[in-house]
Amino acid sequence: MPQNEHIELHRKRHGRRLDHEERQRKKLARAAHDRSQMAKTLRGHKAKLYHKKRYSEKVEMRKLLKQHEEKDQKNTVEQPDKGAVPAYLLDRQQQTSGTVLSNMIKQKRKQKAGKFNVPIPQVRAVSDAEAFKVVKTGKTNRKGWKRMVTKVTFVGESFTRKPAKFERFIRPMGLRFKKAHVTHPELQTTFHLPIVGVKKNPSSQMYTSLGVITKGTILEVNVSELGMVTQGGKVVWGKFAQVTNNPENDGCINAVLLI
Amino acid sequence: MVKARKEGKVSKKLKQKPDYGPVKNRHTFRGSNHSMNPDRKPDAKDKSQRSKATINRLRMYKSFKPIRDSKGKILKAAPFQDTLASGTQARIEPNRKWFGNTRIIGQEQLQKFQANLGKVLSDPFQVVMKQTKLPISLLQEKAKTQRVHVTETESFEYTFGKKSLRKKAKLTEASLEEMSKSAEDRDVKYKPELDLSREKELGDRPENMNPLFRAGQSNRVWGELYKVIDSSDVVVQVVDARDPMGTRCRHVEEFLRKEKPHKHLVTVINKVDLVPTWVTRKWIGELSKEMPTIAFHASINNSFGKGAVINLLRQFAKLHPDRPQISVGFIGYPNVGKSSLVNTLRKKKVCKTAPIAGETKVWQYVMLMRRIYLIDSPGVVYPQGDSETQIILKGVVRVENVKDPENHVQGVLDRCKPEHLRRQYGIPEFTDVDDFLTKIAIKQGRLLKGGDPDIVAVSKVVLNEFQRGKLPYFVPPPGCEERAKKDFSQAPINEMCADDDEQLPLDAQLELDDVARNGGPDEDDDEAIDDEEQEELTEIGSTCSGLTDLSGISDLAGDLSDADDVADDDEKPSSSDSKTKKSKTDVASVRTRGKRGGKKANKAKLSGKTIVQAASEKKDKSVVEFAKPGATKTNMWRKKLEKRRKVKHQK
Repeated sequence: MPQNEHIELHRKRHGRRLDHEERQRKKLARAAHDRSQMAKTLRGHKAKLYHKKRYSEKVEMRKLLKQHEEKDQKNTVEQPDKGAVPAYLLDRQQQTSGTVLSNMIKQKRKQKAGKFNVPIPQVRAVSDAEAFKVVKTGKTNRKGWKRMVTKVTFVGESFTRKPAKFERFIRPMGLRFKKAHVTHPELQTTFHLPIVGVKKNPSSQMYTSLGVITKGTILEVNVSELGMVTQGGKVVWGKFAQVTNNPENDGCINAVLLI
Repeated sequence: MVKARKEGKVSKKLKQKPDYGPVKNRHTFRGSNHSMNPDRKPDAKDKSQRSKATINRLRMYKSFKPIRDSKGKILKAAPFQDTLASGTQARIEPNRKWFGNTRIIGQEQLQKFQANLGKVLSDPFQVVMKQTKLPISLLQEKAKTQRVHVTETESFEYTFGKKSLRKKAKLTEASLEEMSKSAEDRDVKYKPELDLSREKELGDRPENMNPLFRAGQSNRVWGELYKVIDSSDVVVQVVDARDPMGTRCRHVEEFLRKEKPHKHLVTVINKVDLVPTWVTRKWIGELSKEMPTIAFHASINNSFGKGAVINLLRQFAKLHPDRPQISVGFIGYPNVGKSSLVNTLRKKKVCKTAPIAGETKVWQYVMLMRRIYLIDSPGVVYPQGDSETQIILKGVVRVENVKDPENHVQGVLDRCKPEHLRRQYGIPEFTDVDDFLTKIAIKQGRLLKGGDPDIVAVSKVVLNEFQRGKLPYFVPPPGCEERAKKDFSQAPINEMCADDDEQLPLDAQLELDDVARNGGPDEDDDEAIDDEEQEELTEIGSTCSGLTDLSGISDLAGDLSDADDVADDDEKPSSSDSKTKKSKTDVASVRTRGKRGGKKANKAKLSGKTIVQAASEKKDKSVVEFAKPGATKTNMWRKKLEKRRKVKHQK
């Protein structure tokens, strides 16, 4: 057990105080007064650092409020002429030019600020001893150089195992997945989409090449079901998603679409 | 003054560089020249030396253990068994590429793609090389709201109760009379047998099947099967020519078609020497509608169809030049000859074989060429409602393990003709199963104490001989039941000539079809020649070219021996002493008749394959050698025999 989790362990064994929720509520109510008192009392260098931090937090809050106000606005869009769109694209929504421009501006600002963070930027690393199990057969352990992958893998359409004398990493059929439950963060809906490939496993590049899927892995999924179209009228059928659960424990892959 | 002095000292220290001595070489065994050194200098003269990749692979087999100290503590972990420090975090860097579109397709391209790929996928003779870069799911869009959920659109609350929005419920009938009429109609149409909600009366239950008859259905065997399928690029399904439909693995075919469409499925009809030629041809036509089919006779020295199989595998290897090797997996029922097929292709006994089921227990990897591997597997059985007798007669279980063999001999009598049984066992006319077994027991002297016939032992003998092909029998192809009755046994000379004329164009048509299906004739032949030349440089290549040459010779030799067998059968099936003299006269008659004799011999081949008699084969071979010294055919035969000998010498 890590040394920093004894508080959680104690809570798991013995529970919380009976008035824990009330104390939290009161502490949150007093937080503003504490901040104000601290702002008045601090002097010198500490005061400068504190004020700078508070100013940044307030600016971020104002920006967030403005963003939400922007979302509520209604854009005036001219409906296209009938027959201008093919039949199989009629049920797909078109993005307005205003939205496109605002999205472009937002992306540029995020790019400057370095804010293209994925939903789970940091996860616990998976070691080799955890992902690979030594294959043991018989007395002499002559297959001891082989490793059985104990995590969920994706192998693609045209996969065939290597001959036995060349194959070091064995990916079991029972732990192979073809689809993932992908949640659209804005629509708040979940789809069962086919996986196209494993783009990046945060723990190791070797896991990426083997197709190992753990928490935090970036997948490429087939989004043709969602009916997304670019502003030029082309059909989008590939997008990235990040895994949010531990697939080898849950028996399924849950992911968030990166938009 | 003090500060200046300190600064001077510091600068002096920084200017000095530490002396670590000469830089050492990284590889400890760079200079040595032993066979397991991956960095040794390649010898220009010796081209059979191991490559660097091979040496690294061989070293991988040994260096897989952790390094420990004298007390057993691990100093260095085994390869790919390292552990990370507690609390180590893995990070994904912020990047704009995560939030963009990765794959886009235009509308025009989408329309072309839908039109063309739909055709290719439904065509059994075309292969899609790479599918992952194409949006296949756009082709397979289906109606997802096939069923209307009434309770969602018109819930109970909105129809009845306080919040009701409709005053009247929706009914299919307009009046009370119509409602009562429809109720009466439904009552008339009601059938208790089809009602799944009714409790069924507990009648007689079938006894639990003997675990002996679940051969080929255990988790171990199916695990081996899925390993073979997973490791194969080409899956060869081996079926028995006597009962192709009964020995098919339809479940595996469906699995490959749905889950692994990128693997190629081929059918090989083995044991074609036990059935007439026209039966084989019909079955090939029937099975070729679904997948490529090849006729085969598995024998190391006297095989049929080996060249066709090897050519087909070469085409598959050529189809995937990017892969370092092509693996071919052999699946099928127990006792259909999968291991014998692998031995035939290798021209060597590399897999254990036996005339009974269940000899192969685990999957085995065999190297056919440098780029083609063969995978042998145990036989698998998917339960499809076969009775115990059917299971025994297919050869799935071993006869000596059956507890009541006499109860299954009736199946043999149903399938075989009485005259063949009489000829095989040398017994007179019999009336039923008991009479049949009793006469065989008396004839063979299998008697118990007191002179009673040993029915159990004789039953086992009969079932064993049926499984091993000594009793002629086959399932007729669809639509050929009448012809089976005629052509099962020997036909008169006139009918034989007529049939011979009719069947020749069929041969030509089938050959043309095979060429068209397997690919372009001329270009492939040229490429095949190039491949053969390249492969002759290595030992395995030379072996392969030898195999290719031998296939032609063995086929012709087989034909000749078959013809001789039939000649003997025609004249006298009863006495064995006078066979030699009679066969000599037969050869003389063949000479005098000329063309007609040739036709007769050719025709005789076809029906001659119904019965296999090893003893007569040996005698006939010796007779042939003596009797044909001066004919042109004999010279050709001798030349090819010499070629075969040369090839053997080369090995």
